[in-house]
Amino acid sequence: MNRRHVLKLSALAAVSAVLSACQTAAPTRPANTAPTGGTTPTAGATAAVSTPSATHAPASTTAAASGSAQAPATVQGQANLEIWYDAAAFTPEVYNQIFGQIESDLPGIKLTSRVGVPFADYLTKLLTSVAGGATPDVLFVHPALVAAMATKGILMPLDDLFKSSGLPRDDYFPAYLSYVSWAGKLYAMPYQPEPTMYFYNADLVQAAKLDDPRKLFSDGKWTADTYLQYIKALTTGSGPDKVYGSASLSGTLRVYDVWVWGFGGEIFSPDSTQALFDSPEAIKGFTYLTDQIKNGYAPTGYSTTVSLPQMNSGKAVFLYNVRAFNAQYAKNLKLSTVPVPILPATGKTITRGATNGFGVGAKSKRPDMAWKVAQWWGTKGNEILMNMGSASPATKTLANGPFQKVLLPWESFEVWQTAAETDRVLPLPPAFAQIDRLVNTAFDNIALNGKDPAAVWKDTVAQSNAALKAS
Amino acid sequence: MRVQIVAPTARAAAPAQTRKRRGTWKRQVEGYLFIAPWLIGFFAFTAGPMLASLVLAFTHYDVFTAPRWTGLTNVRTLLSDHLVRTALVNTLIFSALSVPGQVILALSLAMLLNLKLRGIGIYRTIFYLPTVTPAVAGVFIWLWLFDKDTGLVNYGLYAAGVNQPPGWFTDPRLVKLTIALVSLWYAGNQMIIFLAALQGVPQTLYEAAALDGANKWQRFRNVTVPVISPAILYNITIATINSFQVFTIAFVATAGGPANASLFYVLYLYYKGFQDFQMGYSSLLAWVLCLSVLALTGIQFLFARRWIHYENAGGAG
Repeated sequence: MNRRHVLKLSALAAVSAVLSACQTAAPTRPANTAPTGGTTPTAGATAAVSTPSATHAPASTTAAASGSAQAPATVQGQANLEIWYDAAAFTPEVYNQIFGQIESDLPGIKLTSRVGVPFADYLTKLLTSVAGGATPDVLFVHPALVAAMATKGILMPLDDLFKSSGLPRDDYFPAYLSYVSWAGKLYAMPYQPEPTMYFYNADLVQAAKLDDPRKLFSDGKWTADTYLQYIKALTTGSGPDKVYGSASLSGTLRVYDVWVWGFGGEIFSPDSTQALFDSPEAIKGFTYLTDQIKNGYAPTGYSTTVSLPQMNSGKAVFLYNVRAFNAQYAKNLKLSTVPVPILPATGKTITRGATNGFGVGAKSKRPDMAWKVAQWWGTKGNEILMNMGSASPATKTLANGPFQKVLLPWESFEVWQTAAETDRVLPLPPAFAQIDRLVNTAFDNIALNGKDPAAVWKDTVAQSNAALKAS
Repeated sequence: MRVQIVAPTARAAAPAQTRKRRGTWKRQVEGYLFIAPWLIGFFAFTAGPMLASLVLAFTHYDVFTAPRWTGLTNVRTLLSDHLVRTALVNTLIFSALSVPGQVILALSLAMLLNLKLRGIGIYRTIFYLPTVTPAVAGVFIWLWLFDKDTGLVNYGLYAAGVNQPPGWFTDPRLVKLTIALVSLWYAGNQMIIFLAALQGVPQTLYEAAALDGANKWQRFRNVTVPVISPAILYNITIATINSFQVFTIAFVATAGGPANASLFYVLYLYYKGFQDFQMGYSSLLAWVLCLSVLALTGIQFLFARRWIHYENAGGAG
């Protein structure tokens, strides 16, 4: 090959590269090349996917699942769909098994493009992809992203499809559908709902000669004041022997909201256009939490990489958490669960949750088939994950049936049910990420820098309102 | 009719010049064709986006809808944004802590690894390993080591008699220092550059200095430092640029907290662009960073003339 040939080939290669770069992005990407990273909260997620047996599946779910297995008469030929999912939630093997199960259960549907993105990058990559003209057919929806995805026209409202599918709406725990809704419209099917409750080290509670919190709850004596007394009594030692009554507090308004409500405050106005968390009641709720850090009952800083080791090493007694992390607790821990204490303003327990869903892309060319996949996730997918120990049941039928067989010995169905039924949803406006950062800064400024709560929250609400207005 | 008289020699030279010009042009074309893949990549993925971001800096752009020209609105927002000031101050403090630390540590390690010891190659590999370790994994290890209650560092301090060991990542007063300490973990690249520079110092200079009665410190001060001064300048410049772009450690370990004490400039830029979807404002922040680093590098080069020594320049200055 002479120089002339090399030059010609180089020119050809360069022109080819330019032409291919100018083409519309090809939609297909193999699942295993998808970016991975972050933590996998559900260690049980590495387990093999097992199809729920028909005998265990509740009638409604079985009907929904089997109904979804039949392609509607109007659908002709095979539908090749693109699905986007949270790559950090389960291992690639688990996802591949689940996708295989979907294709097996829904003849005529092929998930030819499977795009896994870790949650931290999810919205960024999704918006960039959609802006570039590549719209997924089926996509993972986190409650914190529903508003942003809905207002930017990425998601299709599912109410009509839900209604015509015959799925029993009343069977779903109301909160779980609300988490994946925005402005009164349903945008996803909940497949991984999780009400939050307190997990505690029963050995340490017993060693401190304190009554079992679960019993106190049954007796109606598990109050916010009692909880404070407990974590105060359970905070002992110093240096390497230090034990905190509470593990690190979660760093998000999505968790603080329970105490704001519980002390009579509100987070946002009903239409989510105004921040209201600088009222005296709301400040009482925040102060209840910041005082736990100020008084040394809870350590500073939050992430599951910190709070779970705190529990596992016996350095914290109570942790506000969800079942999805069950497999990550040390096997030698004697754990137990109890709902959030009875809060002063509500006079009862309330909690919050984290419900993930799958929605349908607004620009999907096969919304009918994409809906079938979303529906699968909200029925059979939820049941499969529940059996793996990676999700709580989305429906009352599942909860009252097979769920009770997969509960771990130290778990309590009554505690879980109380949490599921008292789960209160905070609709998260599109500017929520910005507001959450402001709230965390305020929280730290009060808990660590000793600043005046009233002034800090007033300033934070003003900044939050500016963010809401700008969005 | 005008008759142009051309000298015979000139007439003969013209085709030769044309041939030469054609040959030169042909060679240039060939050269450009060979570097075409890089050129296309540079214009498509570096220069193009940079220019686009310059335009976007004066728009409102949320990625999803078309950019809307807003003139100087973003500039006015930037001037009144107190978090930009916080992020800048945090970044400057981090830079002041990490750059000297990294350069001194890298030089010290390079000098140790320049010793003629058996198995020195293994030591060099070991000290370089952190640089090729995935940053996120490294940060998690440091999070555990520096944990206030369960971390090995505080266990050591407690054993040494410190009753109230600090919250390295959770104390707003300490977090920047902690992140600067963690950044030392990645001094491997600078260490390699210093090592190469140290190996280029002529032995004859040390021998001459020894003959003149110079002790070890004087040999280091008056021989080693001047000869490796270009490497020092290079490492300071690169470390400064890197320190202004600090992101991963804060993003993974603290998310900018506690109380914005580790909210560094690039982290804030990322939040505005990729969490709040204010790409126009984020582009402006990126350009301000670019110009700031450019100015700082210029100042460094200006002052470097006073102490830098180039072998070919025949002396300092």
